[in-house]
Amino acid sequence: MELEGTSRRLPIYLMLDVSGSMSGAPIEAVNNGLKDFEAALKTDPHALESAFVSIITFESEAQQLMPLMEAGQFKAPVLEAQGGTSLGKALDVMGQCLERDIRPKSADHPGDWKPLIFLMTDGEPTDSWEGPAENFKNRAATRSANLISIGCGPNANTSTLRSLSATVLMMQDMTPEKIKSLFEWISQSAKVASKSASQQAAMGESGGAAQLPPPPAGISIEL
Amino acid sequence: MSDDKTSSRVAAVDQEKGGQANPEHVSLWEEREPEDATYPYPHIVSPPPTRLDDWDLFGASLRGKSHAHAGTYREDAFSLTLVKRGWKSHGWVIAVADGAGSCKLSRRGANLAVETATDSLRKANFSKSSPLDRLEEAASSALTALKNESKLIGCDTRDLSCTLLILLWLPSSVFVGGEVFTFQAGDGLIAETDQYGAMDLLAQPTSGTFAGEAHFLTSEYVRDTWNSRFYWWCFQETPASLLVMSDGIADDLIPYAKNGPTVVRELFRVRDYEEPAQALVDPKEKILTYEKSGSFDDRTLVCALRKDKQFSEPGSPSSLEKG
Repeated sequence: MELEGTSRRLPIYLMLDVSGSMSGAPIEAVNNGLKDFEAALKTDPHALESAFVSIITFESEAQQLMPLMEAGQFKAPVLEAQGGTSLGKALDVMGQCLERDIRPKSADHPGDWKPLIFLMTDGEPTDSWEGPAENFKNRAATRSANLISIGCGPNANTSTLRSLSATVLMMQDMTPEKIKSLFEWISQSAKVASKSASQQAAMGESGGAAQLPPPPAGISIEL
Repeated sequence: MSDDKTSSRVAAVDQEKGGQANPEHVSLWEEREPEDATYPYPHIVSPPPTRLDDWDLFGASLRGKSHAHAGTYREDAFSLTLVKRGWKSHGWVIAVADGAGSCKLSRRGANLAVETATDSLRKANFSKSSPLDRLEEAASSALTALKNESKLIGCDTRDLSCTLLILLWLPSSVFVGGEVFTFQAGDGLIAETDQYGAMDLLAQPTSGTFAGEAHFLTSEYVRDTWNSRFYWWCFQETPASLLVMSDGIADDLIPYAKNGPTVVRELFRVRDYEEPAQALVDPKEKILTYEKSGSFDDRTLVCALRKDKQFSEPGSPSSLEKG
């Protein structure tokens, strides 16, 4: 029999800092990491049928560079680094995306899986971010979103990231190798989340924390 | 699943087209046998039908492609049992359970919950006591069985987490269409339909706003809302069908208004087959074996179809007269 209606999705957002300080080798490594991320998703059947991916970039401005799309259609973009680090604007865009994209359970839809957001930044915000952060947290809570903040390099501010999310990872050295392994971990996390979605994991029973694999060497979890 | 490995491989499908196959994608799903044979359960269950004077009852359960790919067992369970009301009239019980995907022993929990609940109702004397009380007793006994089992095998009760859906139908001297008593903990669906496949829910799922937020039989939420999990329905006109299913198929039927007639049409189509349950799991029939993107959970569907009813297409002359 052929059934009408769409299935539930696992929304995965990558919020990427493309400020001027990411110029050169770091942004090149990020672009390579995105290619690996694309390849990883496209070889995983769980991800292909459940993961939907979007990219939000921020420098002096913020934008949803790629709308939420199914993993099979995702094509890694080529990013360029410039400008400041407008984290506040990025959080505003992210919050709007959550409100617009995420579908709760209704008579017409079975309800999406809880969104996963990976925020990657290498420096202090250059805009006013505290207000947008509060708005974002409220929006994220109503959409049951899980935000994983990743600070890259020595200039990333742990306390800023900690105020945004319970899960904060720090990568001290921003070498191409470390960025590569970070994207491998993000890919693995997306696959694990897709798989657990497909197995109807009882995340809701334990408060909704995302089950993620352990980070690679050189990336520490801030407790 | 099918004996033919290739038939269980599926093409990736385009979600926005409502599950149509995307020929550009190559299948990556595989079918593996479980390495850990603890608590083994068959990948497919499709028992013979129960033919009564007034109802045809049948159902089936099959392993989802996610479990097949991972090499793990099916975690759904169901049973269909006759019960007595008075010395010559009988009713019946359908129970369905779905083990929590994150719990390793949930398949054991699902089977235990179903067996315990139906066993309790099979022994109940409905002519001398309230069916609703007996249903409450059955659901409680299922929960107690999970707790006892966890002590016996040395695990946390949550490791046995599962949903539990029970539908008890009894004939009635007052209500021509009989009486239905339901209990639901977790997601999935208990519904009645008319002959056009229009669905009405007979219990409220304990699922949240987003996927993966189901509250299982063992959860605090179900414990705290226990009394509101039971329903009593009286029918002056007999429903054409009564359905109980796990979320693996129930979620795919959303929106019910569009997909209810589709599934009810198929059930009535195979009703008179010698083995209708086998048709449900036959890959060629595409009833429980349909393809839909993002749908990879176990699928269990048990139905009772009224003998004197036939499926009528929505929009048909008889439908319009009724409308």
